Amino acid sequence: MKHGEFKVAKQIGAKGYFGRVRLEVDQVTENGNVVVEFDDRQAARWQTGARFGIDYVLDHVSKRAIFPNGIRVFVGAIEGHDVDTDNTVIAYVAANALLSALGVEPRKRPDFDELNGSFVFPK
Amino acid sequence: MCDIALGLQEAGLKEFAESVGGSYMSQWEELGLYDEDVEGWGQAFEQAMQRTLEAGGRVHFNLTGIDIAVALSGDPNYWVDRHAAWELQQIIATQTWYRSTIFYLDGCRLDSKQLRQLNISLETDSATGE
Repeated sequence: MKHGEFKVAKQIGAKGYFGRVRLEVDQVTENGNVVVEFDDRQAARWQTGARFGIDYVLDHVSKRAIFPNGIRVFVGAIEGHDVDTDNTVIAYVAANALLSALGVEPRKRPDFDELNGSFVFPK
Repeated sequence: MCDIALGLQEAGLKEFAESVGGSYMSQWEELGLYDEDVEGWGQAFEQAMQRTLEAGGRVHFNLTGIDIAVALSGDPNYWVDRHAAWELQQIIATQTWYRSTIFYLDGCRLDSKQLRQLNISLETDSATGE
């Protein structure tokens, strides 16, 4: 099992960007599928964003090389703030947490443009 | 309910809010204490404080779990990842906010002497030695 964690804590002018994601990866599942699960208590909010970030990474790495027998991602914790966190921030953080766990460089990776406060997920 | 509660989430902010009869930050947008289109916590917190005090409410601040020395020495213009510490700094920098705030530590309400011992006082009072 591999562990990944990533955090963003940035304030740009009047806007805040905050989020932290911790997750675990098993590169084998019983049927070879991709399975994403969340801790009911510690990762209850912003699951939509986390799921997008995880799917984005899985779309941009080599499935045959990285997880030929399937993969299980367990998101153990999503930390955020009522105002300074949203699904976009968590998508970026979860994607980087997963990349950290896998230890691979994807074909494309999400970017946080700190000048404009925008997140970019290249196709 | 027009009082509000502040403090660390990991120190039980929700339960603290219930114990003092106040609302906590996750309830504030729905209560209209800040606008849904605020840019960041700085603006949201200012709106919530102003609207609470205009409605005659008070602020209950749970200091449990906060390293007060670290909190007070932090950058008062930066709130991300130090939200409760920044809120404490904003309150002691604003006379009307400070006068409307009741502080608690480990379940006990603090008096002015205890607050002074924790170096929690209005910045203007600290500057004049009052």
